[in-house]
Amino acid sequence: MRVRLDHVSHSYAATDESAPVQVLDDVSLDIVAGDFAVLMGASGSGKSTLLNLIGAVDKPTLGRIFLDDTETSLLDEKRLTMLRRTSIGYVFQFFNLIPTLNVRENVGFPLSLIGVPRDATKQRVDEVLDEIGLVHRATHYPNELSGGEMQRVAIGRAIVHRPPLILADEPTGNLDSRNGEMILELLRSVHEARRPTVIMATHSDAAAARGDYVVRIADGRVVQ
Amino acid sequence: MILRALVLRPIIRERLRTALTILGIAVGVAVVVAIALSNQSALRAFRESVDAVAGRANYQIVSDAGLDENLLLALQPLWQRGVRFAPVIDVDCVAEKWQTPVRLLAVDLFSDLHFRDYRYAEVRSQGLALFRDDSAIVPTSFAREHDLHLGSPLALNVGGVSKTMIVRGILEPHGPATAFNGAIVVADIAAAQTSFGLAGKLSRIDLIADEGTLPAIRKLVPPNARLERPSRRNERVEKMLRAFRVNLFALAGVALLVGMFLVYNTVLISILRRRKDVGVFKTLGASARQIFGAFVVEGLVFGAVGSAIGIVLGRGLAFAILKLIGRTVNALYVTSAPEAIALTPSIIGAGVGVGTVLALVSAIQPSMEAAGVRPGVFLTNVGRASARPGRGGRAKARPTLVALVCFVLAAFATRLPPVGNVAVGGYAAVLLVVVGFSALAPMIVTGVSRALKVPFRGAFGIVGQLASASIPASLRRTSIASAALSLAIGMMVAVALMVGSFRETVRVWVDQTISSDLWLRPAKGLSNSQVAVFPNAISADLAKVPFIEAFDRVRGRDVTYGDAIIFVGSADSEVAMRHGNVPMVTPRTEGQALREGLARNGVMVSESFATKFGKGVGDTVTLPVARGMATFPITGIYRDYSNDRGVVFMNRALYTRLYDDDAINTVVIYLRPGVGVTWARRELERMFGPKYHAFTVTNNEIRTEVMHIFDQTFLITYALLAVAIVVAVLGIVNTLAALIIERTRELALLRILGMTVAEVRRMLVLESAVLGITSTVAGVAMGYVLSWILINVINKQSFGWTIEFHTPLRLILISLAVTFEAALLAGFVPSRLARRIDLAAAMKTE
Repeated sequence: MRVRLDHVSHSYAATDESAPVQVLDDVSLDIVAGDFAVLMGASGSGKSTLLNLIGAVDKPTLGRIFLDDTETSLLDEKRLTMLRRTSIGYVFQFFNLIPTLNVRENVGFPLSLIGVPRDATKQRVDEVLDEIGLVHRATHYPNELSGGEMQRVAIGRAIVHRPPLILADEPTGNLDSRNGEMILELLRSVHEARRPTVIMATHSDAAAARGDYVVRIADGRVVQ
Repeated sequence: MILRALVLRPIIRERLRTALTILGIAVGVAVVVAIALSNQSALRAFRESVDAVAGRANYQIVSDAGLDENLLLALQPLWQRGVRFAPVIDVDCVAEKWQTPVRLLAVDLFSDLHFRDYRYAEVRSQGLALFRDDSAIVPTSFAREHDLHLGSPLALNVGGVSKTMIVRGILEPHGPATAFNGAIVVADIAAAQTSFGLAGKLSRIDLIADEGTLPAIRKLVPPNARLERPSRRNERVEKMLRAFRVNLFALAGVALLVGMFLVYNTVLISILRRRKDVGVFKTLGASARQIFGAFVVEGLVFGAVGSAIGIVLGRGLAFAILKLIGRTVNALYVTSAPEAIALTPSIIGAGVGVGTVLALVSAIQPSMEAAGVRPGVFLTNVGRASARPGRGGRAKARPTLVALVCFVLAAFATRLPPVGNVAVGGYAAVLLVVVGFSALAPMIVTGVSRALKVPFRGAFGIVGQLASASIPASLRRTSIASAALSLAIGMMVAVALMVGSFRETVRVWVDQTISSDLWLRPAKGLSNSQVAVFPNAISADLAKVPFIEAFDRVRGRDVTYGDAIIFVGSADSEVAMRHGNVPMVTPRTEGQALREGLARNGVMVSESFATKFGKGVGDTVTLPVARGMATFPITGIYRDYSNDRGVVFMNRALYTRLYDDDAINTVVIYLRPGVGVTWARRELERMFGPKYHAFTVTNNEIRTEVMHIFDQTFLITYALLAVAIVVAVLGIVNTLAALIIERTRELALLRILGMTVAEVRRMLVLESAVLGITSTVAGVAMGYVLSWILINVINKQSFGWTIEFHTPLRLILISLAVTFEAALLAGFVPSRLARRIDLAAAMKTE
């Protein structure tokens, strides 16, 4: 999936606790379908906000965002939901698994939303569990897993419905180096196997080295 | 500062939660206050009337069968020792023109000035006009209401004797003129005795006497009479109403108990939500006591504000309840015209006390939990403690043990005898069963949610599965909401079962008992049938009616029996044997009991009487009669649901002889075969209407009327339970709203992963449905247990009735459907919050 940002700016409105903040300032970007792009920048540079805008979680204050030929900033809430449901996979720093579902159910969650028949879901989830190496943990719940295992489940959930776009926000930020390495390896292999567009935000050089190229962000602007 | 940050500001910021909690407490307190107010008003009206009529008398010589006026002569020597006495006739009668009940107070207008104040607004003063035997004095309000002036005729019927009096005095609203809401007529005693066939008879003698003279007076009191303070009558009436009042308070208590759950839940939720802040405060040096104090204050604020609002609401509610209670009290116990509702300091104090103390008690446990939060908790990833609760065997074992102990104690409590007519053991058993089921709530929530997982997944897909899984995931909060709703549903089912069983029992009893064709009654529209009577002369006229096969004359009166007021009834036993069909407890057939009664001058007693006074067939009962005391052997015990005070039934001839009373309350008529009821009715009303103010009621009308009174009596029961359900549903709204706010991040995640707003809302409504189903399952189980206690312990000990168990399936299903829908609706309200979740902002915070 091709991702294009056209003069995108974004600011958060004032709240009880903070004044209005401009987090992105006139960002233009073009990520070709099948690329593994890395967004790098310090804490607060705007990486996560950029991922939220690309992932149709938020709408820009100014500018336009295109996923392939669809301008997401023009879509209503329902279409945005359908876009997230079918075309995007998410991997978060804090895993964000659903605590009341076990590993198998967490991985199969997107397929359930799409309405894939039970047998097909089972078959596909088995494949993914095998791919992420968690067949033996299929019936375990998130609170029974290690951090690395939780993130592997999150990756499984992000790829199970074969989305053309995978967004990963600091996927190794909450893991030790060995587990972080394993997760990056998994992401890379997923990318190589099916060539989805992967956009990963990180501030780690080691992680950034796994991508095809790096987009550096500072103070809400693309600097490189 | 801690108080402001942790409690006061959140209370103001989280308006919905605050409002729901305060409303819950307010509704609970309102019900208690309303019942206290209306009870007090109904009784106060009666008490004030008794006091106003008693005047300055500090003692009375009273007899239920009437006093001989010669007693006054015996008292005469005591005048020199300072004893003042006044003869009184104080009876209910009927103002014929309007067919309304009026009290006749006939006194010696001269000597009575020692006892009562009469302030005349207008008086006809020529000669001794007031002493003429047709003179009546009425209060201003009565005169105004009925357009009476000096010289107006006023036809009164006292015990079947009718006489037209002339209004010759009008009283200002003072002293006796204020009694019975002004529905009182004062006359000279000699005039009343002459006019109404009461020559030589008195209702009582009022006395002003010091303690030293009492022994001398006591020696003069005949055996069928009592020397007592005027307030004794109030005490007896209060005692008679005690079981009824306790029952009402117990029901109001349910609403309050549900309110307590609500406070507990609210404070717990607020603590769970501010756990992180508490951790920060403790890290910064706040002591456990300060944290505990802050959250206790939160409970206190909810309690105080809720109570204040509850008192205002309660006053409004009292007007409605008073109407219902007033009707029941009038229909079943005593004639009383309730006055205006008055908020007394004691009721205000009780309302504030109940609401505040219960809120405080409810807040203590969660506040202790807050005080126990470890410093630095904010540094860790605060999520749900466990997504899969209920695995720990120990955590499960303790509530199960508590429940088991409660159930065993409840079983023991049901065996305890009543204390002063109140089924203390029964109420304790109810409370223990409620506590037991509440302790089991987490287990029930987990079990039912698990059982629902597969069907919910099948029916609603992943949305259903998530809904069934998320309720046990927040067990602390959801189990309390579920316990509150279970309690409300449990009580509703229990009362529906009890009332349904009772109704069915009464319906069968009425069908069996009322086998006559027509009833002839005096004075249409009077709720208290004792007030209006036929003279015995009607018997001769009835005997001449060719189409009547037989008629049975029913008469009765209230009689003091020990410390209680019972009813002594009479009818023609011969007729009852041939035509009647009274359901018996012992012996099996009424014929045997009646025959033995006739042969031995015995009596039958109602089941209530037998239960309350521990009497059985073969025992004796001693009652005051017109001349002394009489002892009767008990020859049978029969079922009677018309009265819970206890009835002693005897043959009419015996009654008439012993009480010097041949009046008739109702004539039960059996028509000859082939005579049409409608035609006979018309004929009887033509023959007896003008002469006796008689009207007829058919068999069917009586049945309908009995069931109508029954339904009316229990209307308030349903109303109170509805309030409890409303409070419980508020609890669910509150819990779900809190859960949604707490789960903002989780809900945002689901939305990011592709769930639509509609799906999230459906999931939240389904969660509400899970709570509804869980509460219904527990509530129905609890309801059956409670209904057993209500029917076999509380009812039996309070009223002495045997009730056959019957499940009013339709009523229960409708009630459950309504409750379940209310629980679903409770999910709709907070589910709207899901739409407002800002996905990016929710995910940004970690």
